[in-house]
Amino acid sequence: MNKLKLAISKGVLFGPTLELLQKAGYDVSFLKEDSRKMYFSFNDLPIDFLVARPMDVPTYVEYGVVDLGIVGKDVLMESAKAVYELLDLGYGKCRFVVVAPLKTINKIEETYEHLGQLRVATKYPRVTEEYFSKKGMQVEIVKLHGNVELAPLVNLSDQIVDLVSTGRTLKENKLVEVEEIAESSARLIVNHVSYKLKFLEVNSFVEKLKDALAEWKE
Amino acid sequence: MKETLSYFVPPGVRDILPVETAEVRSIEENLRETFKKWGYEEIITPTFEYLDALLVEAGEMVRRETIKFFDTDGKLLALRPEMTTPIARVVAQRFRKKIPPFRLYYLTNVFREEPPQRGQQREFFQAGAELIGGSGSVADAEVIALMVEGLRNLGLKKFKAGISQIEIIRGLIESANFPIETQEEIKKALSQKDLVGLSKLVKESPISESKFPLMEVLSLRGGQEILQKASVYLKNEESRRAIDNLAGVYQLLKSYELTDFINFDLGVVRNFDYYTGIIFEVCAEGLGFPIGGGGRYDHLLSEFGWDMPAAGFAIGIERTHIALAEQKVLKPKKEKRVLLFSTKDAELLFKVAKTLRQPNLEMENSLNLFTLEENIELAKKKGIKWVIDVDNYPSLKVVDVVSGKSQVCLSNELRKILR
Repeated sequence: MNKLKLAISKGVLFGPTLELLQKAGYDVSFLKEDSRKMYFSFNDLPIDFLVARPMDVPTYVEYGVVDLGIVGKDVLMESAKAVYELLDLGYGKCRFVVVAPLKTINKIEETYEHLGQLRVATKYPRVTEEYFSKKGMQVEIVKLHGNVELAPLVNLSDQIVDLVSTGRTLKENKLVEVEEIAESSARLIVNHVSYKLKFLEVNSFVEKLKDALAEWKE
Repeated sequence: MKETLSYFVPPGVRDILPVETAEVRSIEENLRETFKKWGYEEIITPTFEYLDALLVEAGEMVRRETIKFFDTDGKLLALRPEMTTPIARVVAQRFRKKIPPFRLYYLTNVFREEPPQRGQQREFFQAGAELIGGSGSVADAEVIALMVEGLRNLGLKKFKAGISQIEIIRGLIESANFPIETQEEIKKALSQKDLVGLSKLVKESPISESKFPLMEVLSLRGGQEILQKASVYLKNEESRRAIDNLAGVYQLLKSYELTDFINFDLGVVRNFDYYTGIIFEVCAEGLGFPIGGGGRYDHLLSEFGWDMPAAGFAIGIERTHIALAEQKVLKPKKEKRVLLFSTKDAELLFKVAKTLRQPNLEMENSLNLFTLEENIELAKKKGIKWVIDVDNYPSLKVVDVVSGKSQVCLSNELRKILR
């Protein structure tokens, strides 16, 4: 059997991912998110592990330096890499939403009518672009790297596109959800060639995860 | 003072320097030998053509990725994004009085707008072959066998061609009678390899999963036994004929002893809309992207006015090069390199060089009347194995740069010494 390589996202998905792997029968207690070591390979383990930033996981998988990756659908949508999306792991749920300030939400339509274009701030320009072009709306996208909710408060943008899980940040900043773009959760992805040449190994890993997920639900 | 021009090349194109060029060309020459052994003839078509002619049956993706520009009369031109369509055009327009089948091959550059992060250049090189005027499993098996044998002759070891028929998945989707939007969504999820989204679409569809076994069929992968399994799911006439064709192809490839390098993979998806029958793609260990693929395109030639069945394939030269390097089977041809010099007489050097130049020997003339020591120093830096002093012609002094040993010989004995 060929050894598999799996890239795991740091951040919110890290904890539940370890729990899932543990349930699926892989002892991954040695994996630590904050350790300096980022690549783990042991002779007695059938899988090598790589711990990476979420946004980089699809890249590692697309290039085939790892066979598999666990990453959020939100990241997959934004990175648009050519990878197979095999399994919805269910955890790490959040949503892509369009958000506007409570104070000016009623004026957005008027602004659009007069200026012909809305300004939208986001960390996810690709998702934003695709969504608004599908709706047939003209928008100017302002790419920010964090704290996007600030943008409409200081008049940088009319709306924002962001990820929300609980919605608390929105409330605190007096922002309201206008529309939902997509739902997201953790996904198992696989490299094109690995899915062909290591099909048996990948498939048996998928089955183990599926069993563990079923057990989890119970 | 004149400023140095600091222009670099645009993104997505690149210079290929001698070491890499030698390896790329040796791959191409090797493939050329294989193609010729099968009776294929080389063809050259224009680098750019009318956009409409290049995109006759191209899919949305290729349409978007084609590099376009205007002719002086305002007509739209484009750099060829692939070679199958131009060859179909040439055959349909120019081969009318010839007797099919036609066996044609090419080794050339093609052009596509691709996002640079994919490790794909805007200009890249392809080798490929087209068998035009033949149909059925015999013709299908020939193009697959030729591709596999070409890759094997390159020394590639760990690779597999995954084979399917386009009718299988298409027939399944069309026979389910989905509304057009659902069909489009399914096709989009398929091309994006989004199996999670796909299985959601299947679950949400009004048709029961047992009547629409898309996910099961997509994951069928393996040897001959797959065809048996597939026929359990596939009831429509078109799919049955496709399965029979695959069985026929398998038997022929078995006769040619190539079955170690193929498997059936009903999840193969290709990005060209012109395919009508068998489709296949090759994956090699050591590279995360497929290195080649192809299929049958029976309606493409009729677009140019001659209705004729055809099939073919293309291999990406750069990707094959990487796979060969990763599998450590790259065998660049090494010529013998020699630096010829005289310490005092350039005319003598030219005269001797004329008599000594021969095949399989790369002989450079020293441009200066250097001493032996200076020439050895230069040869060392440039990785040249021998230096030859011609001052006492017809007697030659041959020095092995690495060991420092020298011998004297007559010019007709040189070949024996340069072993």
